[in-house]
Amino acid sequence: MSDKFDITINGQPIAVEPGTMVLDAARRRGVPVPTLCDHPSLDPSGACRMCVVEISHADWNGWTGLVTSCLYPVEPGLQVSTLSKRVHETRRTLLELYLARCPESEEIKAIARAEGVDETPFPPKVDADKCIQCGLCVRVCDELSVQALAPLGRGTDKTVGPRPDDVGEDCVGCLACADICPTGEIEYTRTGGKLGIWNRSFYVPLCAVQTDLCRGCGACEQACPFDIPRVFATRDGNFLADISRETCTGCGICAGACPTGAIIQRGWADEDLCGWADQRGKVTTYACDRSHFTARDDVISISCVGRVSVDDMLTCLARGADGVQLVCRDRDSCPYGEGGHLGEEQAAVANDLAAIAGLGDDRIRYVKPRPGPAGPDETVAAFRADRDATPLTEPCPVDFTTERGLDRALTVIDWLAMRPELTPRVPDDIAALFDTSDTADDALWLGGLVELDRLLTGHVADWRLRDVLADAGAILRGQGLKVRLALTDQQVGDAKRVIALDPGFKPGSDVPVVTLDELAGAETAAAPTFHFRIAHEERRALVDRLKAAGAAPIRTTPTDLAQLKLITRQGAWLAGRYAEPAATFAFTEEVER
Amino acid sequence: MTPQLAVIEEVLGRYPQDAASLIMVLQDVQAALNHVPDEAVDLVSDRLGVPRTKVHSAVSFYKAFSVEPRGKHRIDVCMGTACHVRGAERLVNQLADELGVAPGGTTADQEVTLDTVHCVGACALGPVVVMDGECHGEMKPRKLSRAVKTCCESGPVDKVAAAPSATLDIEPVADPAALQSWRDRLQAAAATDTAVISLCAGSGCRALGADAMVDAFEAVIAERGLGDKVRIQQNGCHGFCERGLICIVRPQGVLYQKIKPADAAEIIEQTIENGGVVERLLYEDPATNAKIAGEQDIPFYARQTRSLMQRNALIDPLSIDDYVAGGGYGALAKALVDMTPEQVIDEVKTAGLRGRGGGGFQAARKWASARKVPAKRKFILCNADEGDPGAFMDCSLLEGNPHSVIEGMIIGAYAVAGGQSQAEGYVYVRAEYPVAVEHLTIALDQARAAGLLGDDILGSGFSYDIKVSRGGGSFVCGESTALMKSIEGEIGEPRAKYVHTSTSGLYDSPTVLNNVETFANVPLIVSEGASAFAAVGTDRSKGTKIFSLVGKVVNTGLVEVPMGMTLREIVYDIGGGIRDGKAFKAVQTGGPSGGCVPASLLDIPVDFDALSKAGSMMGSGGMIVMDEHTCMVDVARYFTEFLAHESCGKCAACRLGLDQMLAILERICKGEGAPADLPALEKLFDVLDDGSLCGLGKSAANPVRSTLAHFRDEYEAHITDKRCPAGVCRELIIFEVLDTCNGCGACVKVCPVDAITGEKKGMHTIDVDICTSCGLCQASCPDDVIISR
Repeated sequence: MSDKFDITINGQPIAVEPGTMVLDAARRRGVPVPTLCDHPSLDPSGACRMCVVEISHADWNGWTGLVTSCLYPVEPGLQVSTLSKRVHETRRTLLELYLARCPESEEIKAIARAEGVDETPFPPKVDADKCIQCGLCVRVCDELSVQALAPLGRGTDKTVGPRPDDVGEDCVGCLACADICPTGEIEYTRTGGKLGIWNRSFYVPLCAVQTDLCRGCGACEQACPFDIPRVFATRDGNFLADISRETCTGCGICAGACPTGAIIQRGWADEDLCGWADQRGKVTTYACDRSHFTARDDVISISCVGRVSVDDMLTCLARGADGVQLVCRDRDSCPYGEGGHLGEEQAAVANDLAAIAGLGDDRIRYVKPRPGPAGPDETVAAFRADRDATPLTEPCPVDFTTERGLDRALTVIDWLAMRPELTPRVPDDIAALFDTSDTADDALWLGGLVELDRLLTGHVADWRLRDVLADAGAILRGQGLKVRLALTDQQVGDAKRVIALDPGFKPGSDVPVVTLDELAGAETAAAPTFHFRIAHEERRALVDRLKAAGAAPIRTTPTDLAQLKLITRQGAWLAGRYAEPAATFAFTEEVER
Repeated sequence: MTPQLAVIEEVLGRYPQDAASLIMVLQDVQAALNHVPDEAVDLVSDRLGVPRTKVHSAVSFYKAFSVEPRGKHRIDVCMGTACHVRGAERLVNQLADELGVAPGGTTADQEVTLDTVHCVGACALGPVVVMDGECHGEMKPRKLSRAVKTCCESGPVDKVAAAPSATLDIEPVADPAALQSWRDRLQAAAATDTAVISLCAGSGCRALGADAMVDAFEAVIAERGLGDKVRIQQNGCHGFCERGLICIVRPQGVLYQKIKPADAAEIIEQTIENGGVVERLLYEDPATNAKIAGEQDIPFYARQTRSLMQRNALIDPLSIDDYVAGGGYGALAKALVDMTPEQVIDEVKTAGLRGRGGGGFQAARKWASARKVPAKRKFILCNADEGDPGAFMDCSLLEGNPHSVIEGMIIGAYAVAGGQSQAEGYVYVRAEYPVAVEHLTIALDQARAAGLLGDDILGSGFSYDIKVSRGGGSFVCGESTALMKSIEGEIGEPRAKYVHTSTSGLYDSPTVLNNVETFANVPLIVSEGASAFAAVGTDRSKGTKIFSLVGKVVNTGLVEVPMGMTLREIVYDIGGGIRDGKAFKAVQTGGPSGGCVPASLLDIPVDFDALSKAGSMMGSGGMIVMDEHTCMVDVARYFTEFLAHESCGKCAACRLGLDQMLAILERICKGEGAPADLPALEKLFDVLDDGSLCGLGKSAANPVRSTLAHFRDEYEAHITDKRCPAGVCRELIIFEVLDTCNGCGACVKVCPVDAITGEKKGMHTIDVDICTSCGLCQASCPDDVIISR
């Protein structure tokens, strides 16, 4: 990057990079400049004229001029005024013109009021719509979607649409235009599983909850960008989520977030989502079907990348895929923007898990497509070009009817852990918690804990198994022990002793086992079996047990901790019912009314 | 495949399959099918790789296209400024009434489409109506009715445009020596005794029947067996449109004016066979009544400095031989062989050549800055989108001397890219100038065949080729960035020029864009030297400038004068003053971006800076003279309406500002104006000036501002007294017949509402209660006894 230089904005100096636009420089300086056609995801266009500023320069002999700040690149010594009389009056007259053009637009009225313009001297347009020709809809569709919108006509009669009769023949219903429109002029309808926009009707892949699988954990509530799922208490004291058919947008983000695989999306079976049974030699690409992704046979088009869960991505890898790619669309112009965020997080988790399983540390990636119509193809090609072949020699058989959600992920992880061609690897951040030595006599048995830690990252964000492991590390350090870390029996190797975190967690080898509790001199608790499918009664029993224990975290088992965190997560329905978990398990359950 | 699809496939086959072909493919589809059907959009989108919505967008943006089928016959009333001040609007009203359709509409029987067009470049003959591609000048209501009838009764016009053809039997010249020997051969052949009849076939004269005149001459020549003694040379515009048809007989050098086919025999017999003159066809000086035979002795020409226009009368634009014989491409040879690109730029800089397209930017500075930018390829473009209504200089240069523009472009390309980058060129030319497109295309083919264009020009190692890009009917496409978008196949929305096009223009490459007249001057500068060029003109505006002098002036036509001549000299000494002894009111220069200069400023010198100071601008050179019967509020409304329709609509200041400005002016013209309207207009001036994105918007207030500054009393008369002093604004005037009426009844025949009564040969009267003030009676009155007030 070239050297910075100084400009002044309203007399205040600011150092800027060459190539910065005056508008960006002003905003960085905290100077407000009103705009109607600016958007962080899009190239500037200069259509709305609101961002004009007056510029001058010491070398210009007093000459000043009004320029479009979103398009004017800074130059050394530039003097910018956003407050001059000329700027102010131009902006005022523009707002008066906008008010006359769109007398019904509350948004325009609000912006005008903010600039001190309450009325217009110009006669208001009769039967006016609210389109201010800012061009945002066309630009978002051009740059980030499918190029299905364009300006029509010219001059004072200019309109916007897909074609003169307003039928969006190439529209994919991504709603970016409606989402980005500053005056709400672009309307759409969503009723009975149909989305209507630009005189087209799109099938909405509605989400629904399978009550036998739902544990009422509230993950769906937290994930949904539209606040549609609701968890409620049933008569029999269970908790269940419900998703309204009328308001569901079909984004599927809740389904991607559900830990038990309880949410299904109309038209999508889990199996479809995971592609081919044997994916060896393939790279599995999930792409947003509302982006400018052209239809391709080798791409799984999904409603949102947030729909793809960790278990789906792992399944693809276990079935032999060389890589998995989530191709999002621009999040800032997407009504499902949060879904992209979730997809990115889940891809990172899945990628970590793949690395732990020994598949390599760059198997799964979340990407934003390159802009422009050729962008998606380039994006896919670039990812596929340098993917190493998978070491797996056969695809993992997956039974989608019995294994769902994180349980499927665990099954897949177990299967991967058994593969002789893979060498599982403890990630560096976990290894750093212990003093390790490859030749130590003691092997610390982590088993599937590391994967579990990663797997629950998204679900137990505020307190993870990491803490358990860190405590274990502290205890071992206190004993002055160096350990080798073992995820598999092989990794126990020639160790003389295996240290298990608790009796339920030990390898299948004949090496003597000592539990961490024993090392720490504590009593040993009974080992529960771990399963995500816990019924309400089990949950209550668990809570009771933990309450009775009243012990420090290390006294309980990691599985208990994981399950507890899962059922006490910060779902909206839980707020006010459970107290925040403290250092000890001092909380009460008040689920019964 | 449907027949319609077959046509579209055929059209697609004519062009390269990329986005740059979009506008031209659509033009050909429109020409072949009378509209652009949806299936054409789909196929074109697929083949050219342009999203469907962008094709729809282009179809709706450019005026040349329609989605509804147009009629078998097409009648376009020219609404250029020159035609407007001569009453074109009345003709539109008349036709709308007679045909029963509004402008833009097609009759129910699909026979006729009536439309308006912004200038067809026959301004001197206004008002002009184009029927099935044929231009009809000096239209009057009854003449128009007859012509429309004839047009509608004729068979459907042949939609397949004949491919331009001209002899391409040209020996390529490999080096400058070969060019010189070609020229020597031509000059030797010309020295034989062949007489030449140089007939003006410019846009104006064609509208007056130049074709029939050629036929007449050729018939006489054939009849008398003079085939090898007399050559008919059809030229581009000579300039003196008012006196068309015009021919000059050489070597005698006699100019005949207002000739008719019936005069052909007499001209040939008297002048060529007998060596005399036909007195009655000579120009008569209105001041002295003396007959003048020599072209240069006619006051209209005598006061001009015709360094460019002179050559129009000497060459056949379809003959590269004529151009080469007159020294053509000599400047190119000199530049390529004797000069470095930097020297060419220096020469143009010393000459002080400023852009003739409007802005008056130093050409050499543009070239030098584009040369400095490192790039693999550079573009050198010619702007022939002469959008200013009332201007036809560029049209006449392209029609009359296309090679001069091509030569200038090649020299410019050499200066910008020679020895450094790959150079490519386009001429962006209005499709409303079909003859200019044809002549240019032929000239390009000839130059290419002669080795003067394309690879390794004249053995110099420099390569450059030029393509033609036809505009789709949009004024804003004359703006440089919009023009480049349009060449790329997009709609003509300008962008901010904070990054100059000389750095990043067409396809993001360094691009130089100059106007037709600018390029035509370049060979002169190179061959005759910068100092010769700079010797003409004023301190800061060098050389000559061609103006289209039209409107209510006696001698309409194209005039070329040294920069710095006063408006008074142009209007009175060359133009011969105002028609019909009326009083001068204003002269409008600079087209829709310019302004109206009142009588008090007639003595300002015409150069870039003085005109700007007077609140107008040079523009490309339109000069529309207005008299006491021109309403300045109406003129302001006219230009604002033009701009409101031609604005691209992208930026809010221009789109919304012009909309309100037009609404206010329309109210004032209808007598519904209020005193608060004037300050509101002034407010809009500021927002247009300061708030617009491109030059069109920034200058859009000029027509209103200048008329308001100089003719505020007329605005006030409309607003306060509800009166149009010039008698133009329909809602504010009544028509009356003077008592000198001789009862010829012409008015009765044209009145659409039967408001005129009177005995034959007796005085007629108009019933003001019935009269709709359409003005047709006034336009048709042969004795000018119907007045409006």
